[in-house]
Amino acid sequence: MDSGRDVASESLVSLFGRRAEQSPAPAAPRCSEDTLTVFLSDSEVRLLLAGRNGHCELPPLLQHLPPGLRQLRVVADYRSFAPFCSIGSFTQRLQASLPGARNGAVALQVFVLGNDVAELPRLAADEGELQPALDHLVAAIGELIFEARRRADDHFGRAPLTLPDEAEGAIHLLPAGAVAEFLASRAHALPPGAHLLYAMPVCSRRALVRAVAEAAQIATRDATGAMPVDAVGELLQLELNHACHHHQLGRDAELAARSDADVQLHAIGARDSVDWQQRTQAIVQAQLAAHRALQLPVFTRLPGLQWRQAGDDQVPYLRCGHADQALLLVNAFGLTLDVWHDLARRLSSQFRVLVIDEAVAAHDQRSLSPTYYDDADALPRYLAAVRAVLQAEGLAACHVAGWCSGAKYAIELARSMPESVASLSLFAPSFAGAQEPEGADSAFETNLHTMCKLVERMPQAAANMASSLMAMTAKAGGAAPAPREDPLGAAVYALADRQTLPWQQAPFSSSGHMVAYSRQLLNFRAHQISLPPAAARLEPPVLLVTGQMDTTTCNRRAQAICARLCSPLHFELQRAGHYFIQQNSALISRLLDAFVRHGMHTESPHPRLARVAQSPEEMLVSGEL
Amino acid sequence: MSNTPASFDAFTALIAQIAPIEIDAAALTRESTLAGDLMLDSISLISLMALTEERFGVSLSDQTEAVANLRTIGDALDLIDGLCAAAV
Repeated sequence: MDSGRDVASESLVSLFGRRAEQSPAPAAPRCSEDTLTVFLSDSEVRLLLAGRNGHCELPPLLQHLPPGLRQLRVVADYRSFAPFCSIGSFTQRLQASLPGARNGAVALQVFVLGNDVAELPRLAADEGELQPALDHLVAAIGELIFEARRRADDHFGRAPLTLPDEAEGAIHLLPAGAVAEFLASRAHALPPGAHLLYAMPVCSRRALVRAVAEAAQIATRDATGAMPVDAVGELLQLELNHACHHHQLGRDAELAARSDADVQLHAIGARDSVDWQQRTQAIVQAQLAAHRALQLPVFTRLPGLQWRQAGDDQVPYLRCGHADQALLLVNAFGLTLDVWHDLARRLSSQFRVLVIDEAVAAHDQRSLSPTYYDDADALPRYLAAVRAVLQAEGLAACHVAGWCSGAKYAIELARSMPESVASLSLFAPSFAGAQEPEGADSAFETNLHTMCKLVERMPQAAANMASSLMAMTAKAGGAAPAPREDPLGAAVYALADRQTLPWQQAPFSSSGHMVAYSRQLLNFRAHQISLPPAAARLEPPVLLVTGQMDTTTCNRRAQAICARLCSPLHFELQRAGHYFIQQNSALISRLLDAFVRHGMHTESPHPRLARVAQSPEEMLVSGEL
Repeated sequence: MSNTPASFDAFTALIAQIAPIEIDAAALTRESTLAGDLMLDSISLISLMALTEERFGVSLSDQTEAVANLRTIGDALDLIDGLCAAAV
């Protein structure tokens, strides 16, 4: 009796389940007397490929096949083995490893899903839930739009979004019901061997982007010779190519299988078989509503945040998350912890996020935090505080992430207690005032230094300066340059957005803040990081991330200093400014999580995070010559 | 204090102290723009205003809107001129 009919569409999704290693697919095999259909998870496929001499390591599911089995159907995702072997090769290895299949007693059919299944939740969404690949792509396209609108809400009124050309391809998705129906009603008539199930296009890339743009209520245009694709359009192309390749929304599997004579191809589904329009509308309208709500992130409102104290000195600190591995955030002086809110929220499921901030922890946010650079004892006091917190948390070590001026404290931590720092991540580090010959203070750092020296000399002028600066930044904030000055519209990514602008203004919001900030800045600039050979190189692995459009600090100097301190793994975030830990927290959290797991072998999780080679030799290894 | 060559020179000397670029004083005119020609951002502009208060003995505490709207060297000199005249 053919058991193919007992594979119902809802079973396909439930059998595949989650891809995450923590939640292996509950792939209970469906079987009848003589036919068995098994869906393999990514980890099971990797186990299969880990075998030697052409044989596979069989997962428990396949080790003990029922007696009397005549036909075995194995269903696997193309992406799970494509980097390592072809469909035909994968099938041959499985054939050779299954005793029944080897001697011909069991007919083996391998069905490879060459595209993502429309309803299958597999990618992490904003709130940590898994979502289908199409939803993830729609949200990513929407986020590109709102990333620009948060900086300049009228951006697309002046520079409409460039639509992909119709010839740039389509989005291909396998409807779960169609896959189940195929397996139930057609598989039994097919010969043993390799079969690729690939999807018909559900919509063109152009149609999808246009639908997102309409839901986001922005103007669109076509690229022309006179007006080619602009900066946002380039990122859009990057996102579409990444999704089609990485999430199996394109034709990679189909095209590969067409050149493999051992594989039979089967087209599944039809255009408009997936209700992508409605899903697109719902996702983007939610993004638009969030955009209009103008909610500013507040670190102290993170779910599960705890105020704690450590050691005899009752060092105040904040904790979010309960994981075994800890991540210590080192903020920039004078700036609010709110800048870390989104990143901390995303990371708190994998990390125990810790922050030492005397002002916030003491529920006193009226003044700038004295944690960093307020006086000459600030650094030794901070190092002692970290030791106390680690002891209070029962931790031997933690990962450390520093942003902007926080990089210097993070480096000092790694230097003074290398056994306690498991890894170091430096985001948009500022080394303003450093005596490094390569690079120089940015114009912003130079002007800020001039202003702070004036405030120190004339503190009585701080009140006027503060009120004038607030008036000027309120007047100028978010205004993008006219198109003739910036034909690709890239300058929008150097602007502060509605969230970052208030944070930038905070140090200058009162004379008291201005005096305190100026004192901290002058102390920060006086703090010189000792570089080799005068000091040892850093021991922990170091991740360096810079923003391509960062005008606040000097990326070249940061790269030069970090190269002397260690051999960092350096990524540059394309079209990103100084505040990317907030503005691009999804990508940064993925990168940081990957770095903690894979260290110096971390690969970029997204093409927008471009690897920066540290040396010509490294370029040779990466094959970029 | 009237809007004289002396005050023009005194003001442009202050610009040289805070501008992020090398300034050719001879090329400056009343029409030179603070943000465009001199590349002064908001931070360097308020530094300039603080030095202006000190140099010319005026107070800009009630002039935040006027300061925010300054576009050229001439605008700044006119503001200083007005404050000096009011103080007399």
